Amino acid sequence: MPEISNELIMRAAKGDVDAFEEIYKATSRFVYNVALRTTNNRDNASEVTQDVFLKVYNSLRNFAFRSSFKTWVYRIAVNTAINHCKARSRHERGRIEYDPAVHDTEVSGSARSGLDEAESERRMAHLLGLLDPDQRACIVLREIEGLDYRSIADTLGININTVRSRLKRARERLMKAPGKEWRP
Amino acid sequence: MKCDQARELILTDYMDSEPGCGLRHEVDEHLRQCVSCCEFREVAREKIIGQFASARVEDPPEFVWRGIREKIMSKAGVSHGILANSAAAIRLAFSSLLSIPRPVAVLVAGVMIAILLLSAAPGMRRRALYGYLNEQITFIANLDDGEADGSDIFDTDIQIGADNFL
Ligand SMILES: [Zn+2]
Repeated sequence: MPEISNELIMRAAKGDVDAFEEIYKATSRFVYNVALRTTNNRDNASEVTQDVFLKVYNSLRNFAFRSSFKTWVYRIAVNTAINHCKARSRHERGRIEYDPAVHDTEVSGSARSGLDEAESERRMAHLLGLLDPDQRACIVLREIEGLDYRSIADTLGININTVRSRLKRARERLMKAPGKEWRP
Repeated sequence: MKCDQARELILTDYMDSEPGCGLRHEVDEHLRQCVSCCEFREVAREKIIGQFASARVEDPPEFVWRGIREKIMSKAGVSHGILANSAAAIRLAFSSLLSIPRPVAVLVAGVMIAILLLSAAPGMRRRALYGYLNEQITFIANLDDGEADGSDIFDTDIQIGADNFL
């Protein structure tokens, strides 16, 4: 992932849209994928991504250059995605949305791997849907983005022990999902 | 080590190979003697790690950036006054001075904002002004705090507050 220089941030903060596009290119994949996995819906992920970058743009001149710029962007992304989910679930009473477009990979061909991939995406979406948005964000950052506990804590702006306990509760929930059984 | 503790670590630090896990050796030792916890570890690997290993990563659709760009362009010229443009430069220049204790910095910033606002908008309603000042001071106090998102505070309340005066 390309580095983001202070000079680039300064230019973007002064309203240079090309500079901001560079920032977008360097961070949008992370933002979009976290939004996609957290909201479990492509339209919502696009909306969250747009929302995140407008927030970032409008807040650039307040960035204090003391913390990592990427961590700052990622924190805005995760919080926006979580808040989006919470707001929606308040309206829809926690119903898990299923967006076939997210999970249907190209299965038009006869490729077996395409079907496997589609099935695995469907299963992943189902598992993430079992978790509350805070737990889901932790699992996404850990399992999909590969962040360690310290980075997850920084991104979410929470204590490392909270990361640990959210992961533990999330995984206890995943252990109870249908599939291979474990009995004490 | 008891089974409960071993399983808790298997679900967290042990499974994630966290460097801070000082009990890794003890978990391994426990696993050598406990069939039940070994089975637990296998199921955990399959149901947690295995499920997400094949997750696809993709780029956002093209229209997302186009939408952002359009919104930025349509707002351009409205939100970028001279002071706004200089703010990032000032912050970078002063970032080396940020070792000033936070309460002092907050107090100084608060007083400066108050003076600026009072001189810029003498006819303003008093209550609205106090509300705006409080938000600004809270925002400055929260900048770079572990708990602050930064953008939320600024974009909603303060931006609305500012719009009332400009
Ligand atoms: Zn055991």
